[in-house]
Amino acid sequence: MEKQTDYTNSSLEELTIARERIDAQAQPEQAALLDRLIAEKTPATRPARARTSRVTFHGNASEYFSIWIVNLLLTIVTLGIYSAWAKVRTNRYFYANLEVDGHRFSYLAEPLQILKGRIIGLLLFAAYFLLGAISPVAAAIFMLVLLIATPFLICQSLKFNLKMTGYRNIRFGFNGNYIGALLAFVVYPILSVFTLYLAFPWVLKKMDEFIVTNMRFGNNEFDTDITADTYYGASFGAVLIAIGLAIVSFLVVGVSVGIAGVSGLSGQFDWTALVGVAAYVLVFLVASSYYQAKVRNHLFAESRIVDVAYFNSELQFGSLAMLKLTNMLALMFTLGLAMPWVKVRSTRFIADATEVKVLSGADKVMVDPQQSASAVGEEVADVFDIDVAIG
Amino acid sequence: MQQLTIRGQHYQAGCSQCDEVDVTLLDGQLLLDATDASVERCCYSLSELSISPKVGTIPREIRLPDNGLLSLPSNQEVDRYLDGGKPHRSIAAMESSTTWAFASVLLVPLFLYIFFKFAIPALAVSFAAYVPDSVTGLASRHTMMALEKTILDKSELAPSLQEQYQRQWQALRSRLQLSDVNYQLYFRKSDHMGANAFALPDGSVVVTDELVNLLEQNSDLLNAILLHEIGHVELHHSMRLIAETLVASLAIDYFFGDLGGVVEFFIGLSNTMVQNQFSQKLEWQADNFALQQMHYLGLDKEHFAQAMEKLAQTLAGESRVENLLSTHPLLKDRIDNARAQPSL
Repeated sequence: MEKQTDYTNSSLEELTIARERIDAQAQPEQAALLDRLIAEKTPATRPARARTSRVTFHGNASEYFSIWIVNLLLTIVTLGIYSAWAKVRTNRYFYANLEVDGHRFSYLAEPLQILKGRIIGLLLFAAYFLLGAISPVAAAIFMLVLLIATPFLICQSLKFNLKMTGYRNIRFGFNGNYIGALLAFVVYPILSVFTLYLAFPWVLKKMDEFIVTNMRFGNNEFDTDITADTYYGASFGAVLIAIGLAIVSFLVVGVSVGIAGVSGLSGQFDWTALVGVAAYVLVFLVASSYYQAKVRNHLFAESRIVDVAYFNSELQFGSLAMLKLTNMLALMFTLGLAMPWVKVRSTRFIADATEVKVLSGADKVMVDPQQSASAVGEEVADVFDIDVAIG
Repeated sequence: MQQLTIRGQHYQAGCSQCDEVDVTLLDGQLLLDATDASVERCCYSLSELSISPKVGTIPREIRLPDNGLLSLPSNQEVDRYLDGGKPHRSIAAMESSTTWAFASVLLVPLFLYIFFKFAIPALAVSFAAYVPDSVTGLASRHTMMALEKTILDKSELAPSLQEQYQRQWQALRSRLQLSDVNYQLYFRKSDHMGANAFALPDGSVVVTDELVNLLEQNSDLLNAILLHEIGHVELHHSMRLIAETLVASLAIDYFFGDLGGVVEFFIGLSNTMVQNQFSQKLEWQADNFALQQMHYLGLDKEHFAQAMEKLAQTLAGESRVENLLSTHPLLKDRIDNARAQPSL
C-alpha cells in the first residue's frame, strides 16, 4: 500500500501527522522532506500543533420537520410514553449532525433510562401538586426538601447529560459535588438578595465556573479563566437595554392606544393588553440576547479542555436578537409548526459562530475510568423546570 | 446480495484515536480493512454488532464487540445492509415518509383536541368521585386556614343580619335534594377579594361582606349565588379542577417539553389558557346547576341575571382577549345564559 504523497497543499497539522507515522529509518528521504516542510510552515509564535476547526451543523429543516411531527404524533398516541424515545431520536439527530474537526458528536442515552427518570419525575411532581392542593403546609415542607435536593439534582442532571454526550468514542463527564452546587446554585443566589442583587452577576459567574471546571472530556479536565467583570458588563448592559426598550415601547403603546381611541378601534378588542405582551416579549428577547452573546463569547474564549482544545465564539448581539425575534414570529404565525425550522436554524447559527482550536492531544484522550449516572436527576430537574445551561 | 465497500471512521476502544478504514458489507457480515496498520483486519457477523437505529441521514454508528466504534455515512445501500433488508419497517421509514408527515400535521391537532377536550375532563370526573371525604375535609380545612391567615378577616356584618341569612340558607338547603355533604355558610370580610363567594370541597361556602353589601342585602340575589357555589360542591369541581390542571400541565410538558427559552413563556401561557378553559367550563356547569335548581324551586331566574349584573358593575369592562387569561366566563355571557333559559 505504499504510495508517494504530494505534500504541497498539506496543512501543518497534516504534515505533522504524516511525519509521526513515517519510520525515519525505513524512509529517510520522506522524513527529511517532511521535517523541512514542517519547519517552513511553523510560524514563530503559534504553538506548533493547534488546528482551527469551524463547527458545522448538517441538519436540515425539512428532514427534521418530518421526524419531529411523526414523533409528536407517536408521543400523543402513547399518552406521553413515547416521549422518551422521541427525546433520544431528536437528540441523536442534533448531536450527530454536529461536526467538529471531521468528527460527529453522539448522543448515547437509552430510551428506557429516560423513561425511568420521567416516571420518577412525574411521581414527584404529582406528589408536590396534590400536596399543594390538599395542604399548603405539607407542600411548603416538600418544597424545602426539594430545595435541599436541588444541588444534588443539578449535579445528577449535568452528570447524566455530559456522560451521554460522546465525541470520538469518548464520553464527556462531570464530577461536581453537592457542596459546590449548593454554594453556586442555592447559597450565593440567596446571599445576593442582601446586596440588592448587585452581587448577582458574580453569582452567575460562579455558576458557570462551577459547571465548566467540573466538566471533563474522557480523562482530560476542562479549565476556565472567566472573570466577573464581563458578567457585570453583560448584566448591566442587558438591564440598560431592557429599561431603554421598555420606555420606548411604553411610549409606542401610549401613542397606539391614543390612535386606536381616536379612530374608535378599541371597542371589543383590547389592543393594550396585546401590545403590552408583545412589548414584554421584545424587551426580554433583546436584553437576553445581549447577555447571552457577551457571556457565551467570554466563556468560550476563556475555557479549554486541557491538552485537547481551545474555543472561540463570535456571537453577534444584533444577529442573535434578530434570530430570536424572527423565530418568535415564525412560531406565532405557524401556530408552532415552524418549531423544527426554528431549532435547526438556531443550532446552525450557534454552530457557525463557534470555533474550536484542536490540539494534537485530541488524538490521545483516554476514557475516564470511573463513570456512572442515572437519568433520574435529569428528568426530575426537567419536570421541576430547573434549567442549567451554559452560556 | 452484492457486496459493498465504503470508507468509514474507526475509533479505538478506550481512546480518541481515529483511523480511516475500508468497510466491506456483505450478506450478514462486515469486513474491516485498514489502510494503515493500527487497525487489525477483522470480520464480524452483523449479529455480534450493536447498530444504532437510523435517524434522518446522520452517520450510522456501529459498536464493535471490543467497544470500538465504527462510523459509516448513511445512504440507501448502507442502510439496506445494516437494517437487514427491511428498512421500511423502522420508525425512520415513518419519519421520512411524506404521507406520515402530512397525516401527522392533521392528526396531531385532532388528537390534542380530543385529549384536552374529552379525555382529560372524563378522567378528572372519575378521579374526583374517588377522592375520600377525609382528604377533601383536610384540604378544605387547610385552605380555609391559609386564607384566614392571609386575605380573609372577620365579618363586620351585624350579627342579627348574619343570623337572618343563616336561617334563609337552612331553608334553601332543606328544599333541595343534595348529597350528604355538611354544608356550612361563612361570612368573611376581604379587601383583597372584594365582592365574591367561593366554596370548598367539604361544603364550606364563604361569602364576603363586600358581596352582601353589593347585592344590597337582597336575599333572592344572594340565593342565586349560593346555588352556584353549591353546584361546585355537588359536582366535585375542586377535585376535578385539580386533576385536570395536573394532567394538563404534565401533558403539555411531555408533549412540548425540551424546547427552552421564550418558547417556555408560550408554554406557560398556553398552560394557563388551557387551565382557564377547564375552569370556565366548570363555572358554566355551576351556573346551569343553579339555574336548574331555581327552576325546580320555582324561583325567578332573573335573580341570577341580576346578581351577575351587580357583579359586572364592579368591573371596569370585559374583553374577549383578556378573558383567555381569566378563570371565569364573561359575566355578559353568563347573564345572557341565565335569561336564555326557558322560564316557568
